[in-house]
Amino acid sequence: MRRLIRADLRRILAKPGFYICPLISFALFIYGLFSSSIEYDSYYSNLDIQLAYIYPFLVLLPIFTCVYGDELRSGTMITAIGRGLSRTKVILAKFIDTVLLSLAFVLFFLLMDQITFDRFSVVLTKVQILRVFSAYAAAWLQILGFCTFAAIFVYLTWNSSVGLVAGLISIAFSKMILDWLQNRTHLPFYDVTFLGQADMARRQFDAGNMWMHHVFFVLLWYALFLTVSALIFNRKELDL
Amino acid sequence: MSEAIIELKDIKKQYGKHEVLKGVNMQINRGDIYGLIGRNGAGKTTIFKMILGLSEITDGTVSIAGSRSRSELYKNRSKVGFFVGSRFFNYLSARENLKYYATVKGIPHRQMKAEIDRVLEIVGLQNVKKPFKTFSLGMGQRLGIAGAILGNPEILILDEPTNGLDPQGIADVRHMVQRFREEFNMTVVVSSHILGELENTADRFGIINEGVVVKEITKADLAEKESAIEIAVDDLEKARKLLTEGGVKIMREVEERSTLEDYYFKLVGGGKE
Ligand SMILES: Nc1ncnc2c1ncn2[C@@H]1O[C@H](COP(=O)(O)OP(=O)(O)OP(=O)(O)O)[C@@H](O)[C@H]1O
Ligand SMILES: [Mg+2]
Repeated sequence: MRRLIRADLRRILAKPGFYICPLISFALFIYGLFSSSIEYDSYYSNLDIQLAYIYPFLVLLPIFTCVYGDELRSGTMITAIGRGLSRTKVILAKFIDTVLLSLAFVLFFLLMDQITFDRFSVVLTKVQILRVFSAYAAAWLQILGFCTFAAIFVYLTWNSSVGLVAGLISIAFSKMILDWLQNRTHLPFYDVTFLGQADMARRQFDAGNMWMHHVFFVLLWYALFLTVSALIFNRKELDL
Repeated sequence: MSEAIIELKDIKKQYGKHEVLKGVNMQINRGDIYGLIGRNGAGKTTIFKMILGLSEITDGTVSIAGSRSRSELYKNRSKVGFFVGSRFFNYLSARENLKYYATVKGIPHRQMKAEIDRVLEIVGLQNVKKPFKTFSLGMGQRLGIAGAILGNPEILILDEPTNGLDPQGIADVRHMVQRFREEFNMTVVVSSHILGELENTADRFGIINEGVVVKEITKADLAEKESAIEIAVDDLEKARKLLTEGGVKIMREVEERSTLEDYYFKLVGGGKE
């Protein structure tokens, strides 16, 4: 499994197309550097929107085209399976690819923010730093949740675009719909999901309370999604 | 008794209601160049998929290198190199694609470059630098074979490696397959529907028709089965009678040595016009 992950990461990083999304955000960032200055409060209030909608989009796009799309198009998945790697491990390998790549993206975004702060000589207090950090960490957990959820559709339809669309739709609407359901019914529709649990982990962390168990629930959601993928994929006919 | 390196016992495969394999029994021995023969849709590729675990087996058992359990089977699959159509990343070059394969196969980083050079040299692609998407069909097939022999596997499975190749390419593949056995001690399983092609390459044949292996036969068997000379006689009827009475069974009347093709069509029916 480690070999597959290593091989995957190598071939993904060798693809120019993989860098389009980071380059776009980098261009925007450079533009930002030379336009208006920022201060912490406005930055922090904008951050939520960015983390909830823009960054997930920028991360999902390259991940679904490179981790899944190229793989399905080339049919190379059989290289590992034909050599005896179990399909469950293939799914796990793809998940770990996603974990590592999305982490790289999130760190990249974080770094750009840091540079922006430096550029405008904004000095953050320790509390502020921790808040930015927890916002990013929660967003990362949510992005991973979206990716893992959407991957089910890739295994189901054997088409990475379907997965990508499923992922983008859930990024755009799930928070809104679940919130609405929760407010209407007073049942924790939003709170029980990986989205809600990641939010809670962040809030509890910021408030200095116990937060680890919320992360644990997020992980349980991943496990659920991965199990569903495995059940689907294990029965899949690999056409030659 | 030769040692079975791949054994299929009563393999059945159903796609919905369509039964593609109806109990396939096959034994491939160490050191064989085993030719799997059958018309389009006979189930050759399906058999390979069963061996490689690319598709669920409806019923029956596969054993590779003496594996006795599922986990042993999975483990022993690492001894198999296979080509089932060229599967590569479009945007990567031959060398980069092979690097992906080599990494998945677990070839140590230190040896990777030398190993990739070696297999590219064998298939004659050592000087190609462009990305895979610009490859011709034949180049793709060659790269596929290179990928299959990376790491020098004990067992090599080639599904129609000569598909779409020109006569020179076909001859090249034939020489490669022989070299894989002679030089690298591989057991090679190769499928084709071009019978004449396999006849010159393989030394054992499995003939598959309508979902079962009808016959497994060696090249020597094929030669022994019938031998014929051309003689001219004055009385054909009398000659036939004498031969029959003398205990000689006349199987056919032909002027040439029987080919695999003749044998095949006799077995499964049909034939060339
Ligand atoms: N995924 C699938 N779903 C349904 N039927 C299938 C599937 N794959 C193969 N088949 C059927 O199985 C039969 C055997 O196919 P297979 O590909 O094994 O034949 P083959 O001997 O390799 O033929 P060819 O010489 O054309 O490659 C065919 O009738 C085919 O239609
Ligand atoms: Mg076939």
